[in-house]
Amino acid sequence: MRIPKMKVSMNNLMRSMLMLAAVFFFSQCDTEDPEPENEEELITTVTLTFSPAGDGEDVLFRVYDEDGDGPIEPVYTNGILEANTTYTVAVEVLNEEEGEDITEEILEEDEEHQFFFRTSNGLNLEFAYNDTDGDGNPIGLSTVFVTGEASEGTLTVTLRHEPNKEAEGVKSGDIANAGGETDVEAVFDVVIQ
Amino acid sequence: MLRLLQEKLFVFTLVAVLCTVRLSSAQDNCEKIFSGQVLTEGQHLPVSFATIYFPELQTGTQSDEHGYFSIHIPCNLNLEVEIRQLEYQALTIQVKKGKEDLQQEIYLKQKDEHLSTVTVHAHKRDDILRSNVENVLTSKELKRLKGKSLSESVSTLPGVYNIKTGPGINKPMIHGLYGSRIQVVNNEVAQMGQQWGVDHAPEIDPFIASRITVVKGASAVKYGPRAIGGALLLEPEPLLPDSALHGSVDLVGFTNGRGGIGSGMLSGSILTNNTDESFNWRIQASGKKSGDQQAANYNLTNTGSQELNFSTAANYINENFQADVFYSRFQTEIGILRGAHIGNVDNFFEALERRPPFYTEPFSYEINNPRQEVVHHLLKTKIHHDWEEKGAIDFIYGFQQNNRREYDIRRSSDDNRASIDLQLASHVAKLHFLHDPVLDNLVGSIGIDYEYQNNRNVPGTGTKPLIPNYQSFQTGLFISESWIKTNWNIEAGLRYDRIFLDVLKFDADGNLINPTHSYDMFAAIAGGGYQFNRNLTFKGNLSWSERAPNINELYSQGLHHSVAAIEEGDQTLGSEQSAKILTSFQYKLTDRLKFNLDGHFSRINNYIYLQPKEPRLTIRGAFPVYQYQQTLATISGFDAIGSYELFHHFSVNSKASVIRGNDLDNDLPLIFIPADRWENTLKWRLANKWDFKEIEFNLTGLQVFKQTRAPITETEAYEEATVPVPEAYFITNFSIDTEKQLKNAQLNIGVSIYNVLNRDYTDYLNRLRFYAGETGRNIELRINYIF
Repeated sequence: MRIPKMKVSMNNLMRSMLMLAAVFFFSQCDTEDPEPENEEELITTVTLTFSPAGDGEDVLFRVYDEDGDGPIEPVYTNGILEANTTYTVAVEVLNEEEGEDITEEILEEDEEHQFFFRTSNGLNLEFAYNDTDGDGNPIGLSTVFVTGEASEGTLTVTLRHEPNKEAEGVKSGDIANAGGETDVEAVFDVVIQ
Repeated sequence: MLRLLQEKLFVFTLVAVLCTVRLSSAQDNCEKIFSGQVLTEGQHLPVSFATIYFPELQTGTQSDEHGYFSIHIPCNLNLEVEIRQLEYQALTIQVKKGKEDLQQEIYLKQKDEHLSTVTVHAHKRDDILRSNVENVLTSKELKRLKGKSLSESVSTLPGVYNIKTGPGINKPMIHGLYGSRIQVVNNEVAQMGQQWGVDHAPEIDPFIASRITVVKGASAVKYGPRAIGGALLLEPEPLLPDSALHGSVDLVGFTNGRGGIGSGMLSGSILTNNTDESFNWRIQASGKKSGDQQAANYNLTNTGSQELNFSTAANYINENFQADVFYSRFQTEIGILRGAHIGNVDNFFEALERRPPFYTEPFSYEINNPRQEVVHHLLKTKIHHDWEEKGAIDFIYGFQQNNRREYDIRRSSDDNRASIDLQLASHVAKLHFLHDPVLDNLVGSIGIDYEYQNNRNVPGTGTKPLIPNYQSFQTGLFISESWIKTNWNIEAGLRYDRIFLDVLKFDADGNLINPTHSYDMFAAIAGGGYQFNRNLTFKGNLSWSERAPNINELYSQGLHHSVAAIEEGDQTLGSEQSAKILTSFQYKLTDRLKFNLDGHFSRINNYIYLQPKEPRLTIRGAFPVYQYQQTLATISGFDAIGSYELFHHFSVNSKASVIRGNDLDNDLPLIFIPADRWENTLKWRLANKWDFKEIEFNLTGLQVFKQTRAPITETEAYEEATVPVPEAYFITNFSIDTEKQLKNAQLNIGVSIYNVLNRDYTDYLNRLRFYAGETGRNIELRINYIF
């Protein structure tokens, strides 16, 4: 293919350079204010409501962390349990910044969540799951706790996202083989008297 | 027959003439080196024993068996060079007068093609500093690395390492520095992606490059403040006039990941009545699909990836002018090992024990969260003009748009909503002037560089942004000059940059704030080279460079799930200052035994690094906190290379690299410094055997030692549990490469086996080493067809 010769003069060169310079100098004057973004995955509050069998008063354990991963430390409210009593326990999870009830989200995706409850040595507190997900595996939003003789210790509540519920011991509440990511890990001081 | 005789006579007389002329011109004090490689047009096979002859000088040289040649020529003359080889059409090219050494690839046409009289002009090139230590991957070496990522390819060079985030994300490291301290220059334009992330690989299709240069010295004078730790230069094949249509097809298949890669390229020219003038074009595309990769004994769930890339280039060339346009689009989707996404420190220590990792499932091509999606556009235009007696001018403008989306595991299973959604638009403009020799021996260039970046968080992620919206404006001025004599040269360069950073973000109380920063950065380099005799060459330089803190070092705020750590920037950080000494000795004991020793030492004041702070207690448990802090650091080491030809075409190559890093303020070793390594290769090459033009066997053994100088992290101190540092390992790789000449085409077939013994090992520079082992055995088949 043959086409006629094109002359490239210095004028041409300067003109194309100016044009290119213009393109990039004018194409960069837009600045845009960012939109505020809320941390939707944030969990600020976990409440455990211990309701004794019969007509005793409910006992509340609560942890509140207003800034999630931020530097403000979580604040704990601990309760006192009666010895030798059976409690049904309801767990509530909230994002108070958004006014959102995360308990509902957990129920919607119940196969992908499980709570684990671990007690320190010496605390006479037994627990059993009282709910099941679509596959018949425990979730832990509702549980039954039975206190023994008077004692003190800690109760560690862990919420795992996407645990392997089929792994050994997981259905009965052993966290060792569960895997998954920790969404909540709260350590309550418990007094049984 | 007569012709053959003539040709032989010609070569004979040439050699005779060459000797006498070399003697008589020895006292001519202004010489330059004209070197390069003679290749076939299209297929780019090396042309051996081609004569490179200067009629005006009655002197010349011959290309060696790999097509390489090098000759000293006077620098004060415009010269014609004739390149001849029996099987190819003779070609005449112009070499302009000028002090700079010229390096050129010369393409010869097969004789049976119809005669063409296209003249190829050797336009002046803005060359790199000659006192710097560089390593190059040529098109031949790149052929064997087809299918590897950019970072995996360059890490075959001494002193260059590959930082991994699982098998799919690879990032280059030069002498212990990476990320914001390494400048990747793609096709003469500084790569502008989210370079700060250790898990952000350079967004470049390696099939575009026909030559990759790693500059190991501080290269801030030439490539700006980000090149404080070195630079990586990717060059596509030069787009030169060619009367025929050419192209290539690449197919790569590999067993680990059960994947494949395909790439195609087509190029051609439109020629005018004027033999000095041509329009040339090229189009290229590549695609990749891989499923889960496998460690030695288990599947690495969710480590598949896919890529789709496209590029096109066109130019206009005449005697003293060249205008180029280039556009490329890069797109990738990469899965990140599912078992590496963790919640808090407890999860981290659980995962550490777990092999195979949590969530390990059978092989699949599916890519689920966590995953990354990146699209990168590059548009480049360039104008080049040669001025008689004066020099050459280059104007380059580049626009880049980088869109990065990172998808996390979300509680709400909202898998199609990114947690990180960043758009970075950038403009780069460079105006460089290369001047012809003044005072006989002084050559150099001056230039002005301008960079603009606009980073934007796309709203709707439902997470607080890790880095804020910002604009940055950077202007730089530089000058670099070299004084060149026959067997020695000295050079010096100066650069000044000013960066202005305009940030828009929300403070802790939700108010929009607009902090701004500006930094002045200076860089200087002085160095030189001396050739003691034909066997011993020394070069070295001393450099000073400054780097302003990067946006993440100033503002990063958030949790990194793959390391379960909170990272916090510090807005009060100042610039880093690095002083570096670089030396290189090349010694040829005999023609069969060669050594190369490169040493480096750098002292970095205000070195920015992540310092562990008190772990933070949250409603999700404990997290280690890392804050960007500054310290006085030193990094030193050496790269040694030796090669010995045991028998004809049978050689052994040995490479060793050692690096030490120290944090002097805290009297600790620097974290994330590569372990010592030693690599040996047995190479056996057969020429013209069994119908093949060339067959090459390579057996490589890589020994990586244990990093015994890794500091204990705060997480370990807090949990009173140690994270084991990977043990030493030895892996073997084997490859066979063949080259076959077809009629008007070339076929290269290669087979590589990586990790031949299927060793289970972990590497210190893999950030996912806590969760899984490195990939196991991989058998790869490469087919490359060039016409």
